[in-house]
Amino acid sequence: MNIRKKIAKMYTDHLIRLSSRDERTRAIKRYSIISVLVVITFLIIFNVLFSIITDDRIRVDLSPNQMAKLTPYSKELISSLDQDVRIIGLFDKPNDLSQSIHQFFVPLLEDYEKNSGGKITVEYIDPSLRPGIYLEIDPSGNETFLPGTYVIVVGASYRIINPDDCIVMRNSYLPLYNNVEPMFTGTIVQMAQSKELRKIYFLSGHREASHTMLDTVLSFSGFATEELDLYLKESVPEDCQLIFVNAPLEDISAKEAQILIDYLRGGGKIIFSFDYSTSSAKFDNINLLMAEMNVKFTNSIVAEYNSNYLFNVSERFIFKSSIVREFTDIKSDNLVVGYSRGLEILDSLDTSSTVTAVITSSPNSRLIEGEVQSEEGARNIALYITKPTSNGEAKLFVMGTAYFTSDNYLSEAGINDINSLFIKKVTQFMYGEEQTDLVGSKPFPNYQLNPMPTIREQSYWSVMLMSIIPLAFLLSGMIVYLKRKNK
Amino acid sequence: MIAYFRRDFISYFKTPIGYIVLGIVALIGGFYLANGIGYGYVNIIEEIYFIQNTLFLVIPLITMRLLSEEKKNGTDVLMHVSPISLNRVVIAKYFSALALFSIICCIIVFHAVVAYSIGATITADTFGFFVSFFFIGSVYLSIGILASALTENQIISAISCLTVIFFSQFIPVLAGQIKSFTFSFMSSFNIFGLSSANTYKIASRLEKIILWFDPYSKFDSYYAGIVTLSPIIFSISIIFVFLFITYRVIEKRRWSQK
Amino acid sequence: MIEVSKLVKYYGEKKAVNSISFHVNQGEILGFLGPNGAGKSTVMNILTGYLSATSGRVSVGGYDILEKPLDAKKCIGYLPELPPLFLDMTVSEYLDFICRIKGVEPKSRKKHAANVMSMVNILNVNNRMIKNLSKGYRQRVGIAQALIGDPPIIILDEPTIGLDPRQIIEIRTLINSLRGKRTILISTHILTEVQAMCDRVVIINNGKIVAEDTPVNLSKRLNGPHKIVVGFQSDNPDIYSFLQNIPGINSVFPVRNVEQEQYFEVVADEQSDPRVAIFEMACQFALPIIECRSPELSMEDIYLKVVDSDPVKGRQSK
Repeated sequence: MNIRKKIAKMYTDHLIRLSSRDERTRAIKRYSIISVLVVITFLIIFNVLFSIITDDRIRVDLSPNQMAKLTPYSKELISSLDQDVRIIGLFDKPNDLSQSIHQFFVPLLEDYEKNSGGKITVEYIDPSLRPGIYLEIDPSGNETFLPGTYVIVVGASYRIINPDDCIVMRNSYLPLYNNVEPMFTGTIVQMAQSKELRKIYFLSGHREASHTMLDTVLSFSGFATEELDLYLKESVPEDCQLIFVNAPLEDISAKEAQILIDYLRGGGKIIFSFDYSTSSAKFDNINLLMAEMNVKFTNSIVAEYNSNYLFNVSERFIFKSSIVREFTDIKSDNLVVGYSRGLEILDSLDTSSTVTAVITSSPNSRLIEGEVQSEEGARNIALYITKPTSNGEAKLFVMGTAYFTSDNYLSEAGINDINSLFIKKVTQFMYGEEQTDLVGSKPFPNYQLNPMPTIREQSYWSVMLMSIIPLAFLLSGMIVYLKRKNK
Repeated sequence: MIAYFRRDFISYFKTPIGYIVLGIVALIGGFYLANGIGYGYVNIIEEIYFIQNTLFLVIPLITMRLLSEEKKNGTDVLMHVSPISLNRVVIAKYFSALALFSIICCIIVFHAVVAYSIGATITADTFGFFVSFFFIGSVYLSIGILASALTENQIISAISCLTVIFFSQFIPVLAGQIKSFTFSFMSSFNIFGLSSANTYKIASRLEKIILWFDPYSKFDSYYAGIVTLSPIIFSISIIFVFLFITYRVIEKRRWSQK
Repeated sequence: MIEVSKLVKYYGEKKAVNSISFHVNQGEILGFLGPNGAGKSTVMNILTGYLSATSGRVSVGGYDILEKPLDAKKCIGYLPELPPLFLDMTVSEYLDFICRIKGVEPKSRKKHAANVMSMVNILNVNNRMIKNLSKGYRQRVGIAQALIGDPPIIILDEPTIGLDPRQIIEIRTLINSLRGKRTILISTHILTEVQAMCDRVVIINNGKIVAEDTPVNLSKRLNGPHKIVVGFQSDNPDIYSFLQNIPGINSVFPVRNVEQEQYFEVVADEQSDPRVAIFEMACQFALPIIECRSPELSMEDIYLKVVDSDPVKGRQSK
């Protein structure tokens, strides 16, 4: 304070001494401009220093479910990578994040960079400004990159991540789950860690549904898939932990059925999904296998008659499931089921196996087979059956629908659709993992009003908020104006 | 100092202007909220964003009279000849505008309470948004007060403030344009013989420097829910600079020989 | 109380104030005379700290306006040419605000404001909006504003402008009532006002002081009682020589000659009063006197006279 006063005194003394024309004015002008410049410079330096010194360490994460932060498990995984990872955003980093999907990526990727011990670098490269980047990633030039996507490059290999696949949407506009972290962590760990991947065998040879989408979904949990053709084999491979039978359109052979039954009896685990088809193909051998676990699938189709469960009233075969038990924390009404065959429990008194209905339709649904319609009642969509054997428990997870596994559905809904999350968790469970998921997805806050306001409330608030309150302000303004105008 | 704060703040409510400003914001926010209630989907963050995008219309109304009117009516003599220092007058005037703006913020809080009471989810990051809204508004006010010091006509003051605020929202776009322009310019003429990657680096560095001065980009992390201290410090610095320039502009009238 | 030395103020190329020096003693009422554009308002603005001088020093109440501006400003109550009135306030709100910025004790604020309002006689409008007041009332509110805080020095720029004659007299009375208690600097156009109120007069023209004296001396110097206009109802052509022959009369100028009326301006010696002699002369020649008066000099007359003796002629050319 004293120094300031001294300077002020020196300054005024100086001014007083200046007497010739313009000198004083010029001095004041100079002082004025210089002082502004000094203030600006000081503040710039101060701000730069502040951000360098604190490095934004003083931070509070208010994002819903800490979306902008890595979970400790992710941090642990990426702290010990074997290879360098380059994450490239193929776009110009948006300057206004709040308006773009990248708001869920950019802060998180910063966190990746920070926590990887220098192994992960994040860049944003606008391909229109640097077209060479494509060849830099893929020297062969065969890949079509889309601007606005992310590419994870490890050594010579790369993986493309589409941001849209990382956000699970409901009705394609309400964000439901944020899967950015599982997506990136999963991919990075797969690519940059030389740990051996766990294998799942997919049965082939019976016109099964293709499963490339499912592969991707499973890869986030660290699973690799391999085709398994049992036609020429005597038994399943030694290292087989889990067999996936993905919606075959043809029956398996009796020999294959026997191999699989043997496999189950030895404590094996199978995930089975069916697709509905109107063809008259018979599935006797598959039902033989099913009968081993006390279930049967039929040629009927589940039709939902409760409109609360339907997406579209005219389409009774695609509906929301009503019960999901034991497997996940995923809410039942989010799973989408379509064209599901009815599953029957053969002998409900058989105590050798335990059958759990995992997904059912609503109590108002019916089974339809040809012209025949069954009574109203809850129908099984997915069943989980266990049976004790001499070599541990045999486990079968059977789904009447292909909506959880087939490319047809998953490619439409996206690999981070709620259905694919479900099948991922089921697979993890069946594989016998302690850790149900590498990195969980983070649910978005639900901004829907709960309970939904009544029409009366709606009109009350719209009148209140849009008319009465603003008008009250304007009216009081008018009253004050008129009152004072003629005072 | 308090005298000026008191006078200017009360004057908002003795003239219609304060009520008009509050009425407009209540209407804009209320429109959003009522609509949301109708759809059964209310996110206060979006309302704040909505109002923030209309601030360039509201802020000039708040600040346009503060100094221009004084000059026009000759009352600025009072602040020069009264035994109070000029910088305090500027600060007092700024705070009177800020006080009115705080009432605007109260309207948002009120809307949040209404939304909460009828079952809306209010997430923690709403607070971050609210903070950034407050500080961006505060920066605008300091721009407005400078605009009002530069002219005697409150309409001109309002229009210039509006223009500056409106175009300041495009700094990020502008920065991006400058970046691509610099890049294409430098690579087509390639004066320094730089590789394309280096040219790109220079262009992005340039963009970064411009963006450094942009309060919006500073608050980016807030939109993702990360609340840090540096954007707030930066906003306060900008406000300080504008108020300081305002003070110098007013003082200039004393010694200017025009 | 006020010391001004070698004050210079430029507006662009124009020298509005050209090396002015003067002082005002404590308790004195100083009149500041000069035509529009003479630099009166500029000097006053510099004194109050509203403008800064190009060069020169000003000290008010013992404080240099550059060194200790706040202390200096505390001593001053100022009414600028355009009264600084917030049009959107009522009179009492406005004066309360002025009390606050001048740091009047919170407890005595109301009483003090009421006091000042009764001094300038605006108590009856205290709840009216200033923008609805007439010019006269506004002017008085402006004066009230200058009086608030009991400053030892009061500077009034044309305080009576826009007032009706009764109000002018009120203001004069008010200013006279402050005589001795406050140091007052008034700028005005009107000489009678100066004569009625001021202890001393400073006349400036073209930014320079051209005269500085008491009003009596000034009037005497420029006009004096020895100058008389006399009119006769007669067509006698010899009146001119009759007048010239009266002892003590230096010169005679015919002013007007209309039908049967002749008017002359008579300039006498400093010491003598020729009026009796003129009456006797008139009786002697049976000339009826229809008028005999000292010609009253308007401000313009004095000003013109002063300017005529001003060595710096006209405005500075580029």
